[in-house]
Parts: sequence; structure tokens; C-alpha cells
Amino acid sequence: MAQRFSTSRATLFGAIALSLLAASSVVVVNEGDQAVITRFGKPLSVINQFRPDGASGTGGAATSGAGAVLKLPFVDQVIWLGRGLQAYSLGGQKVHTSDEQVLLVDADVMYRIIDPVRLVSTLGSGSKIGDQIRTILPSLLTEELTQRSAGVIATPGSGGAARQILSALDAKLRTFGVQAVDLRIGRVVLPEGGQKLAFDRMQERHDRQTLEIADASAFDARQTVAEAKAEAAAIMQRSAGKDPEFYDYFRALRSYATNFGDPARKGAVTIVIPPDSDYLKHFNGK
Amino acid sequence: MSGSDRFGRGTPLAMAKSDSPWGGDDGNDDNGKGVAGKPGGEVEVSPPLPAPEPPPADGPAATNPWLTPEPEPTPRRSASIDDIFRNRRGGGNSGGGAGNGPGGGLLPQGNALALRWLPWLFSAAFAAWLASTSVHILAQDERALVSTMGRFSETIGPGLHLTLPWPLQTVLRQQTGLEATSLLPEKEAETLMLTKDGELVDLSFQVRWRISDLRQFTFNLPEGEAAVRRLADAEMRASVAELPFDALWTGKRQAELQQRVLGRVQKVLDAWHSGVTVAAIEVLRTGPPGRLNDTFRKIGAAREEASKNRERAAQYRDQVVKDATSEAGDFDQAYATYKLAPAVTRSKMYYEMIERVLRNNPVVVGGTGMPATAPPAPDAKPDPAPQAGGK
Repeated sequence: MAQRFSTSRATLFGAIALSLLAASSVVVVNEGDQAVITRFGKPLSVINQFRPDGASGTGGAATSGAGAVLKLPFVDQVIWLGRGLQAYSLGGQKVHTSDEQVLLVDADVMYRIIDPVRLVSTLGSGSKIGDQIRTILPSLLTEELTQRSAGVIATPGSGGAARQILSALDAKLRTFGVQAVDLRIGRVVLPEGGQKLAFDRMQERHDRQTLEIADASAFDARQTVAEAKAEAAAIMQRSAGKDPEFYDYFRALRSYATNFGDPARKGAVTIVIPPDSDYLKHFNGK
Repeated sequence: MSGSDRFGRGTPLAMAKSDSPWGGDDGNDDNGKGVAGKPGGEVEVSPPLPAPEPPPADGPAATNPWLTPEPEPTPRRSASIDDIFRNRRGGGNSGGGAGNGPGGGLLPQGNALALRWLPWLFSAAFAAWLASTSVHILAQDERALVSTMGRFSETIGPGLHLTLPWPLQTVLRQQTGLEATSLLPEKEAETLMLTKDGELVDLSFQVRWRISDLRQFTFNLPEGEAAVRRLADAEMRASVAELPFDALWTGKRQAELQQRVLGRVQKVLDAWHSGVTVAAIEVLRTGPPGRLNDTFRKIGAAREEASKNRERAAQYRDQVVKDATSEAGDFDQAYATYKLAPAVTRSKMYYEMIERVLRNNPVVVGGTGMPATAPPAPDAKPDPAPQAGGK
């Protein structure tokens, strides 16, 4: 009994030791990662390194180096790096523009690790890339953007500045094995003082606009009235112009009828007819 | 780190197993060899724990695992779990401390029951593990990436799929059929953007997008939605800076703006091989900065007043033209008759007018009035008050 128990325990410890060894000698590299194997701190090899001709997902599976790989247990260490595009945002960089405004500018950078060995031997790990960008980018931004006006900086590509900054940044990051893929100026914000100026300018313009709107509508109304009168006159002229004298007679009778013969104002006036009036000439038997 | 974790998880399993001699017969030795031999010889299998399990499980449980887990009586099972714990503690003590004698003495009573259930328990766990990590049912709007030992092997669509169990093949599933909607800004807040004329417009919008290539999306754009969001924000701001404030505020060129941003965002996403397709960019709100609300309310009022003003003028015009047309019509009619019989028409019109006036007013005949002339001579101007003279 005791004998058997001790053998089983020996196998148990053997199994533990072996599994530990196995776990330490196999590296499983996922599709989205790059792994640098270092031996005594020195980069030895890269597994699943990014290749521009076969970015993951674009080429076939053949371009991928992901999978399980052997290494020396306990001696070789693995440094993990991302394989996809990674982002870094620099916020609130103060820039004096060529038209003497102050802007706070955000820059969004997308980068990718293209040379893991170089990255590991210069920076040690991927987490330091952000620090590098933070030290490099502000001066590049200032240098390029101060030559441009605020209106231009805000437009797409900042009038070519974004491309210039990207290529300058890329050149510097390449020394760390990193490629800057994309740079765009994101938020462009006016600082407190500039904002106040902009608000004042807007207020002034829109107050003026309010007045203009009122003026324009009054002008339009007058115009419309004048047009209406002209149109009515033209209509009357077309008809009455045929015989102005008869029109005068017609219009006069209509006027009397309206003023004195309106049934709605019955008895408003008293009509006195002198016996010798023309109206009564037959009445008098003349 | 993951190695030690794996190991830590592995230990109790291995320990319990080698404690349980599979019914206590001499199969123990063979199992021990199996455990030792597998990881040593075959290197590509990193976790050694599942490897030793299959052989014994295949033996007694090959037919059973799918039948046993349910019918296993639950109360007894819980009791046996208790027993295992007690047993394990006992085993640990005996192993670490005094030696085999007392340890062996402790075993028989409590362990007898536990030992009998242990194989079943492990078989059940094994079956559950197998079923949950190798059978995958994907819904209509789902896609999944299958990786074999970390290496991408295929993208699978809706339906039933079988893969190798977990550590060998991993399956990452994602809803790709549904459109995702990203709001910018995320929470309702004023977002001031600079316009072409140096003014500020408050604009919020949303991006509707979906994953068109899960593989590209997962591996090329680990930032995922955050990257899409940042990109859309930058492109929207850039496009807003190309338009004057009034066009934005009134929404006159909103469709154009949306289309422009959509095109730009999609172009960049394609260049990134991001596997993202943007369905729409929709502007939700444009307005003046909150601080200028009063100013803009005044503009609104002025606009309203102006449009009322114009409306009134238009009404007036309609009325005047209508009146003129109707009078002209009447005249034309009268004139047509007049042309046929001038003198008769004149007299008839005159008497009709007088009748109408007299019908509606009290009439006094007599007194001294101004002499009225009727009908007036064709060249004489009608006196405005020939009848009211005596009033």
C-alpha cells in the first residue's frame, strides 16, 4: 500500500514538472500579435511579424506566422507586441496660427509596429511608443501649423500640413521600428479668449442679420404693394381704355350706388329731390 | 504567468487522478506512464492536463458520458463532492507530512465512495468541456473566427459548426449582421466645431456602421469602435470647416455634408483594411452655440415677422388684383351693351342707379336743391352730389 502510494506520488510530481516544462517551452502566438523571443535579453527571433505585402486579413493565411512555436524553457522570454493598427491621440496642443489666433489642436495618430526587433532593442516594449510620440509630435505640429491660418488648419488635411507632419513623424518613429500610418487633425478648439472673440463676432453679425431681415421684408412688402397697384391699373386700363368717357360715367354711377344705395346702410342719408330736377321732368309732365 | 496558472489548475486534477487508481487495480501504472509520456514526447500540445484524460475516459465513459450526467442523482453527488474535499485535504496532509502509514490508514473509509464517483465526475466535466468548446451554433447575424493554436484558419458563418476543443482551436464570435450606431458626442453635450467663416456651430451626429470583414476588423483594427469614432469625428470637423455657418445652421447643405463625410471616412477605413463598412453618417442636431441663444432667438423672431409681413403684402396684392379684375369684368359687360345701344343704355343705367339710391333712403320731394342734371351730357363730368344736394 505504502509502496504503491509513493510511486504514484513520484509520477504525480514528474507530471507536474513536465507540464511546467512544456508550458514554458511552447509559445502560442495569436493572429493579432507579434512575439519577440529574447534570450538573456537579446532579441532572438520574431514570430508572426507584420509584412506590408500581406497584412493580416488581406493576404491568405499563408502570410501569417501565427501559431505554436518552441522555445527554450525559462531561458527564452517572450515580449508581446500588437500586429494591427494602434492609435495614439495627442490632445490640446496649443498652436499660434498665421492669422494670429490661438488654437488648441488634437492630433490622432495611427501606427503599426513593423520592426519588432528594432522596437525591442530601442524602447524595450510597445507601451513606450506613446511616450515617444508625445515628445516628437508637439514640435512637428507647431512647426507646420504656425505657417497656416486657423481656417486652413481646420479643413481636411490642414492644407497639406497633416501629410507633412505624418511623414516627419514617420521618419522619426522608423528608428524605433514603428511606422506612422495615419495622422489627422481632430478637434480644433478655440481657447477661452478666442472663443469669446468668435462669439462676439457671431453676435455682431447675427444682430446685423436680424436688422437686415426686417429691412428686407419691409422692402419686399412695399414692392409687392406697388406691383399690385400697377397690375390693377393695367387691368383697368385694358378694359376702361376702350372708352374712358363711358368708364367715367359707369364708375360715377357705381360710386353713387355704393355710397347712397347700399342696403346695408339703409336710411343713412335723406334724399331731397327738387320738383324741377331732371329726374322728375316726366313726373311734372313736362 | 499563464503557465503557472495553467499549472495551478492542473495540479489538483493530476493529483486527484493519481490518487484514484481507477478502481484500485494495477491500471495505475499505465496511467502514470500516459501522463508522463504525452507531454514529454509531443510538444505541440502545451497544456498537458487534457491529454492524460482521454484514455481513461474513453475506456469506461465512452458510451456513458452523454447518458450519465443527467441521471446522476444530485444529492449524492453533492455529498461526494464534500467527500472529495475532505479526502483531498487528508491526502495533502499525508503527502506533505508524516508519511504513508497514517495517510493510508485514513483513506479507505471516506475515499471508497469518492473514488467510485470520481471517474464519473471527470467524464462529465470532460463531456461538458468537449461540448461547449467544439460545438458552435451561430445565429443568422453572427460570424466567428476559428484559430488553430493561435493561427487563423477560417471564418465561419451561421449554422452548426464543429471544431477541435478549446485549447487547440479557439472560436471568437461576433455579431456582424447588426449595424452598430456610434453617437458623437457619446453623451448629450455641446460640441462646437469651427466653420469656414470662423464661427462656431454646435453639431452632433451618428455613424452607422457594420463589420464587413470580421478577420480584418479583429486583427487589423484592434481599437475597433474607438478608431471608427475618432476617425468620423476628425472627418466631420474637417468637413464642417469647409462650409459657412449659415449653410450648416439652417441645414441647407446637410445632405451634402453627410455624403462628404461618409465618403472620406470610408476611404480611410478601406485604406486601413479595417473591415468596416459605414452605412450612413447622420447629422442629428446643428445649432448655434448655447451662449448665443438670445441672439438667435431674435433672428428667429425677425424671420417670423418678416415672413408674416410678406404674407400680408401678398394678400393685399391678391385682393387688389381681384377687385380690379372684377370691376373690369363688370365694365366690359356694361360697355358691350353700351356699344349696341349707347343712349338707351346710358338712361337705363342712370335710372337703375337712382332707383337703388331712393329705395334705400328716405326721400323728400321739394325744397330747393341744386338742380340735378340727368342723364348728364356725354362731355359733362357727373357732379358728385347731384342727388344729395339738399341734404
